[in-house]
This record gives sequence, structure tokens and C-alpha cells, in this order.
Amino acid sequence: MIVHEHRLVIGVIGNDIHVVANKVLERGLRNAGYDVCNIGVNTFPEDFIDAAVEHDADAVIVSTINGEGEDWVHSLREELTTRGLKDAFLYIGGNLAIGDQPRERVEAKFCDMGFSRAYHRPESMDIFLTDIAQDLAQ
Amino acid sequence: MQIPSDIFIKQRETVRQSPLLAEVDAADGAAFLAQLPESRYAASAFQNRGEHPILQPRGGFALFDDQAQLTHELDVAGADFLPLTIDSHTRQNDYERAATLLEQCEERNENLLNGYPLLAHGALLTRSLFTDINKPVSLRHGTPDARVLVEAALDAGITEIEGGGICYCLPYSRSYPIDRALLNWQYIDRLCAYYSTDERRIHRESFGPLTATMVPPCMVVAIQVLELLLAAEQGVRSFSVSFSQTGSMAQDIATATALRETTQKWLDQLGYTNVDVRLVFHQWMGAFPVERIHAEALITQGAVTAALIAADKIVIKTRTEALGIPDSNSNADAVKVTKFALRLSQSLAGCTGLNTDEESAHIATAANTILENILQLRGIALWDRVASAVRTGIIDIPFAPHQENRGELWTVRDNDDAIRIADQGKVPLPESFLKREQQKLSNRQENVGLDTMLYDVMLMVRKSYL
Repeated sequence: MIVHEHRLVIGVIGNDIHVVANKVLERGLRNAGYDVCNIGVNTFPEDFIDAAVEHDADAVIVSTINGEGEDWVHSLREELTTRGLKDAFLYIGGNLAIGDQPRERVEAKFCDMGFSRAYHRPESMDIFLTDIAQDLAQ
Repeated sequence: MQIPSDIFIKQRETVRQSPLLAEVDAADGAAFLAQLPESRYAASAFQNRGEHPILQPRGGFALFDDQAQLTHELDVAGADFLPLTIDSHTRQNDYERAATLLEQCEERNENLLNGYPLLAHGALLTRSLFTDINKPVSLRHGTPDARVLVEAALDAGITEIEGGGICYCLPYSRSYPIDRALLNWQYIDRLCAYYSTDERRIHRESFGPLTATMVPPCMVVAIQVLELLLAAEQGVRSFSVSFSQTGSMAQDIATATALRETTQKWLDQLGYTNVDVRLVFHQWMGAFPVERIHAEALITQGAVTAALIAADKIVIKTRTEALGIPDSNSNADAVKVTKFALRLSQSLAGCTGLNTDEESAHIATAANTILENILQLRGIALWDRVASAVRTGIIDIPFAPHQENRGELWTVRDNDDAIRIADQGKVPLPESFLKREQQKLSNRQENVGLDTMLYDVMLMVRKSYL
């Protein structure tokens, strides 16, 4: 097993208790050798930031399944920078918008908010494993 | 140990002080229950049931009129038990929020709650939902602290109470302490026993589907036995164990046998001779197909399984499950679909000769090992041992959101879609059991990718079916 030794914070943001993808992500990232701090479901922006600071995270991975994620994440990038983690990667994935909207447009909107990458209703979650490995290898 | 009378009475005085229970005096509540006809008692309905499994739909709406209409439509459609499904704010004891939202619903005549806010409506009004109904009503919720809710439900003449300290805590709550959930449910079991007489028993039911996501049958069986024993200890004499359709019909049939046998073995072992135990089967509780044809096929197959295992009751799903909270119409149709499928499957009841004996023995052996390990733990009472078992990971429910749930047990599906243990975490299991599980997985690729893991969870909504 390749040990990446990179530290990650993952969780599901907002009043959202969709736990399935979170558990799958936790296990998949651990199997891939990452040091994962899972803050779980029903969490808020400050929980992510506090955990990232405590864990000196290389990347923060936000999930949102109920579609209400956008309201919560506007200041995440700025907060990370203020708290001394300006180089941390910031990802978001899941169901990023309510209703039918073109994937590219939704993902671009989140990248404008300071996310390194965004995944709106992705066909595959394994793509993310490849992407994050690439990003962190830089 | 049963909660001693003086302590129970004292606890009850505190619970009854809730202003939400003020409209019915506890003695009036008891008198109301006692004068209900036998047909309103779930425990009696089980004893008198005919050839088919009892048919139980779900359903709860915010507004009284909507709930009354649903009740009427389900009754006409042929439901045997009627549901009262409670909204999520009431489940979290946020009674104020449930009441505020109910007011908004009434002003705007729309549905802002995902169930019936029993405490906002009150027990008296709720009684009137069922005035003309000649069938038992079942309380369906997901509440770690349901003491006030169950008091009100009994005041309203509801005779079947679903839930338990494990099954309504770990899958439903992120942080409600498991100790408190177990103690609250000990109170509820004691209360149900207190209201029961030999002829008129209040029926309790555990919720075996748990997270309905990749839970291995041996864990379901162990938890069902524990909740039965916890209830029996408090004096409950009529109890349902349950589980849900897993995606492998053969494994479901084996689970039913294992559940019946294991339940009986432990009741005998602990000397409980007077408990009427029933088996409840839930149609598929996981991520539901969006396509109507797939949803209906899945529902039908669930009915066939229920007939085959001679379930005492089947809890049904609707074809619109994937699209949000089902309306009255689709709930009523669901009753009809399952009823028809049950009639077609009538000749299957107790059909023997199916090659599932090895699998059921396999499940029972594992469940017994888990149970033996729990009963050997240090503790002042069974509930205390159960709580330790949760914290140490002997009880571990895949995909439960609860922070005290270990979350190390990991399962995958074999080639026949049966759920197998790939990583036991801290769950004590016999070597021979683990070896057989490994054999069943021998031609599955190593479970590393995220997509492979999701593929197992999403059995019924895979893109390849579309």
C-alpha cells in the first residue's frame, strides 16, 4: 500500500445527515493511505476550519448531498487563509445544486468561490481519488 | 432487572409533568385503553391473524385532515394495521419547532413536516383519527427519547410501539448518548408492560432494518435478540423482531430462520416462557429505484419473501419512495399491490426444501457468538452491557451516523448479492464463520475503489438497470 501521509479533513456540511458517501469516502481514503479526520454528518463551516487547523490538514473535502451546500461554503477559502492554511486544497462534491443545472456551470461557480475542484453529481467517485493524489503529489 | 415499582412510579410522575400530556390524566388514558375493543389491540391481532402476513403501511402528514384522509384511504385499501408516522422534529424532542411549523402548515395549508406531530396535536384530537377504525394503530418514529411521545400515544389508544434503545439511537442520531437512549427505552418497555394485562397486551416492535445499508444479518439478529431481552426484562409479553429485504432472497430466507431460532434459544436460556414473539419483514429500506417498474417489481418480490418466510407482518413501501414522502394515493396503491402479491404467493407459506439451512446456521452461529460476548461483559445490568458493547465495537452498525458507533465493521456483496463481512472490526466472530464469509467473497476484487463500495449500497438503483 502506498502511504501518502497526507492529512485530510472530510465531512458533510449543513443540516444534512446523508452518511453513505461520507463513510465510503472515509474508508476509500484510508485504504489509499491517507490520514483522515472525519468530522461526520451535520457539521458546519467552523467545524471544518477548526478540524483543519488542529489536524494541519493538506486538504479539506466537503460533501453536500441535500443540495443546500452552497449557502454554507462561501467563506471557507477565506477562513482557511486567515487561519494559516492558504496552501490547503479545498474540494466539494455531491449534489451541489437543487434542480437541473448544467454540471460545468455549477462546478465553475464553486471553483470561483475558491474550491480547488468541485464535483456536481459525478458519474464516478474514483475520479476524485485520482485527482486528489495528483494534486497532493505536486 | 425490572425497574422496581416505586422507582417507576416516581419516574413516571416526572414524565407526566410535561405540559404536552396535561390534557389527558394518566388514569383517563389507562381507562381509555382498557375500554378499546380487542380489534384495536395489535397483540390480539397477531394472535388471531389469518393466512396472510398482516399488512402495515407507513404514513404521516402534518395536518390533522390529511392524516384523517390517509387513515381512511389506507383502511379502505385493505391495510390491517394503520400507521402513525411521527415528524423528525418531534423525534428529536424539538416539540416547540414541530408546533410552530404545524401552525404555519395550518395557515398556508401546506405540508412542512415529514410526519404527524403527535404532541402538537395532542392525544385527545389524535384519538378522533381512529374513532371509526376497527384496527390496531402502530406508532412509527425513530426517537432516542420517546418517553413523552409514547405516553401520549398510549393516551391516544395506540397499542403497538415501534423502537428500542439501540435501533432508534445509533441509526437515527449523531450524538444522543447510547446510555440515555437505552434507559429511556427501559422506561418505555416498563410502561408498556405496566399497561398490559393477560388479555390486553401492549405490543412492542424492534426496528431491525437499522441503517438499511449493508448491515450483515448476524448483527441484525444479535440486536433484535438484545432488544427483545431488554423488553422481556421489563415485563413486555408481546414483541416483534424484524429485519428488511437485503437484495438476496436466499439470505433473507436464511435470516428469518436464524432470527426465529436464535430468539427462542435466548428466551429459553434466560427463562422467559410467556413472551409472544412475532416476525416482521420490511420491504426494501435502502436507496429506492426511481423508475416505477423497478419500484413495483422490488415491492412485489418483497411480498413474495414475506409469504415464503411466513412473516407475521409485512411493512410496506410505495412506488414513489425515491421521490420524497409518498402521498395518500400512492400509499393506498402500495397496500393493494402488496396485498395482491401476497395472495398470489399464498401457497409458499412455510415452503420447505429451500437450500438455506447452511446459511441460516451460519448466521445463527455468528449472532450467538456476538450475544455470548455481550452477556459476559462487566456491567450492572443488561442495558449497561449493551452500552459497553456499542462503545467497544462488539455491536457495530455499518453506516450509522452515531459518534459512539465504532464504524469499523465493513461488508460487501458476494456474487449472489448476499451481504458478507469483509472486515470484522471489533466484532467477535468465530473463525469458521469468517472463513466461510471469505470464501463467498473469493472472486470479488479487493474492495478499494469508492465506486465498488457504492455499487453494493446502490444495488437497487444501479445505472445498468435503466
